[in-house]
Amino acid sequence: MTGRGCAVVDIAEDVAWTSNERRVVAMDLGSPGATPYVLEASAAAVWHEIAAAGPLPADELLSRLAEGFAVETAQIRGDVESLLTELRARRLLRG
Amino acid sequence: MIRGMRDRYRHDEEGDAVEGGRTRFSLTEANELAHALLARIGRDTGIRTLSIKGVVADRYRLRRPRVAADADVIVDPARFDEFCAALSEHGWHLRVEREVPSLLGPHSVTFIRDDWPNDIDAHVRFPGFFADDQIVFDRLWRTRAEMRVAHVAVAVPSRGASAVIAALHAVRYSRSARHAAELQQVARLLTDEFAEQDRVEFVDVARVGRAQWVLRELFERIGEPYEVDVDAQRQKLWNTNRATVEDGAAVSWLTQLRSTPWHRKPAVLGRALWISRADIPRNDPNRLPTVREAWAHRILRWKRGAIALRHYARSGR
Repeated sequence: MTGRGCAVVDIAEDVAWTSNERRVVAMDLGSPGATPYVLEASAAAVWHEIAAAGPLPADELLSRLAEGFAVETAQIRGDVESLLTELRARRLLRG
Repeated sequence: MIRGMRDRYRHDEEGDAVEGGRTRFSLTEANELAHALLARIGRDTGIRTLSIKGVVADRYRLRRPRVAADADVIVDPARFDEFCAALSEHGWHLRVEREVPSLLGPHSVTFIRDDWPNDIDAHVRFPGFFADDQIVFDRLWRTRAEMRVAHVAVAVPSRGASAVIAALHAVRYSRSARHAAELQQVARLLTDEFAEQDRVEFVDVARVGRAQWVLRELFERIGEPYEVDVDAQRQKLWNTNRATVEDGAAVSWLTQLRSTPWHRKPAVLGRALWISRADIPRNDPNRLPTVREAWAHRILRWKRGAIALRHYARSGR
């Protein structure tokens, strides 16, 4: 994917997370005082895809999401990349 | 918004809530994450912990699932203070509240975090076990199991041991229909559903923990013999606590007043009746209650105390 080549994405080892179909709440246990992070709807769908298929290349994640939502990858690439960057910064994802 | 996916993700929509600490997550979510956090702190520090009640009781089907207000953990008594200090390093702190007398003595410490909706109750003991705290914990630990909570391995007591804890919790509340139903559920599981090894475990944990007398009604219901493993004085304390625990600390204050030398009774009575603004229980230690809030708390407390003492008088103790 843009800016990171084709990084492999996976849920980080130190993460606790709980979820239902529409919502995920995740927390980095390795950072004392970390605040749980709430993902809803499409962001939760991204997380669920990583949980189900990870570790997987970011491009493959994008393809799977595009297929699942019946959209072109170009339509969602920017927002998915932005979300992955945010989740990596919060140490919820690795890769 | 992830365009084309026709919705939003929370950190985009309410990023300020996350950054500002007002994360909006439910009690159920918070409790699961808290159990994962507690297990992690235990692993990092090498302190033995067992998650109890709540999600553990639900998954063992020891009660009808319900949302708990807190996440309970029982900690190796030898390292309890150390564990509390480690929990503090993760941003959890004690509520502001003064120490009040308790008939059975303190059994847990309540921690809160201002941006979490739940509490953490860290137990050094569980009420109803009359054996030494370390003996009880070591017995629970010896047959521990593991549950995945929030995708993290969490140590929990065995199903039989968790049934003892669920029963002890249920029998503490003599006037609660919900707790009576939960005790009934444990009795039904013991007679109809538990494998022999779970039932043996239940009986042994109660025996080692000296909880047989407290659970005598349950033992009778399931047709198991039991020993009277609590002396008369502690039986009286347990019964008094059971009759009044839902009314607050009034009877504990009365008991302390009775056992105090005459020259110190006025001071104890003063502490029982009056609570300063600084001592009024609250989550935020930096915010003193207003004068109006303080008086509202005192009046509510006096009313509850009067009701408790009326119950106590009627119980003939």
